Amino acid sequence: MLTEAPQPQSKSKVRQIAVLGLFLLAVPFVYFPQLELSLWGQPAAQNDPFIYITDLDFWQRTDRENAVTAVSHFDLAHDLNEVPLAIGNWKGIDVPETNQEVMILLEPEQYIQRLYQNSAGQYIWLSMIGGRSSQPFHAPDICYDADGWQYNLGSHPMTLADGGELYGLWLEAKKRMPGDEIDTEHIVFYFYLFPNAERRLSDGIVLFKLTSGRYGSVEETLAVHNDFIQQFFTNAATRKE
Amino acid sequence: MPYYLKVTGAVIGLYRQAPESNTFYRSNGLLSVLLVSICILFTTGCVAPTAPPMLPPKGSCSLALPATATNEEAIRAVLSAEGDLVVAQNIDALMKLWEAGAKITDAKNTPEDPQDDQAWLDKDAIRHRYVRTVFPGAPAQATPKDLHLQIIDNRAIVAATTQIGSEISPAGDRWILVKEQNCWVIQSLTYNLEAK
Repeated sequence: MLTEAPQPQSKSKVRQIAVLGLFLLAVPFVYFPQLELSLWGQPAAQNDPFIYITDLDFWQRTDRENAVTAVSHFDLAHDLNEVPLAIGNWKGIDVPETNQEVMILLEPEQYIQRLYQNSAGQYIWLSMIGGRSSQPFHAPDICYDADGWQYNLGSHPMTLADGGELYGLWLEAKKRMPGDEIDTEHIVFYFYLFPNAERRLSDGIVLFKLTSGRYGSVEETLAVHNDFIQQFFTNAATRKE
Repeated sequence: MPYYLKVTGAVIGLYRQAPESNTFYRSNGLLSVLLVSICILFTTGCVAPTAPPMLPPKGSCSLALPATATNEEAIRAVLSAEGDLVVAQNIDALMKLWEAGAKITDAKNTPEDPQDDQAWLDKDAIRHRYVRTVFPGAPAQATPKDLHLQIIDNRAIVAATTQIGSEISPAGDRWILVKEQNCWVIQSLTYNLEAK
């Protein structure tokens, strides 16, 4: 029985398809870094709901703007109450704001206040304030100053477990309360979270603020804050334009 | 024209010139086009940057000063620009005037007592102070006056009176500038040095 020999045309088609396949396969490997960079310009939260843009300020971008991966939602499309109360070495309780003046003044869309404690007995207050205008975002130093606290202010990079640094502003504030013989001291660390790279106010912003007493030096206290932040944010990459 | 475009053009030209009837030649022509494309992808995709990124000019070098400007002229220009840029609320240009690790201190009118000082301890903090404390006041004038300069090598100490709007601080400011790579940059500002 005679078998029909394969046609040269169909052979060449197979070859063309194979080469085309190889060509398409090569593209993502070769251009992966560029593709990755170009993706930076896209809204971060569109593809991955746990990636957020962080920065020291919400007015204009600073050199410290970063994209961070979070373990929970930190945007106004979600209830900030869903942020875990028990995480890593830390356990928290909700402490609702009882001062109605705060709500009247700030008019936040969401306002969460919690007190966390770790197994070493160290406390950190977590405040998450969300809004879609500049009104809820009074810089903490302005409030401390208005209330008569003396403070120093600087920035600090928090190292994340899977790499990268998350920059925030820290505040070392002290005030002698009436009747006290020693100063009350607060160490505050805060930054802003944006759901996408456009950073529109209308998309919502969340202020992530930690407040604690002093545990040793400012640096040692910030190390405690760093441990807390590492539970919620796992890695960061400096924003590239 | 880049070499890879020339090569691609040549291969495509060969392909177009091939006789329609010659299936083997045409299919191999197409194969060549694709193979060349793959090579281009690999070579252009892996090209390293040819030049290191240029650092933006800083301090006095960010102000279009004549090359003949003296140290004193450059220092005066930096402090004058600082005031003008505050009024203009141009934060990016302002931050170019400051050295990395710079500091602003409020001496709280008790120059002999550093215990009550309030400090902004790096450029991030200085930026924050401009944006959240200085700019909201919308100053219409913020020019240092009565400058007394003392230049020692690459360091300058400047005592100044600053007028921000209607607020005048006579000899209340002390600026320290340093010269780095031939550019004068602000290292620190201490204000409210005048005693109560």
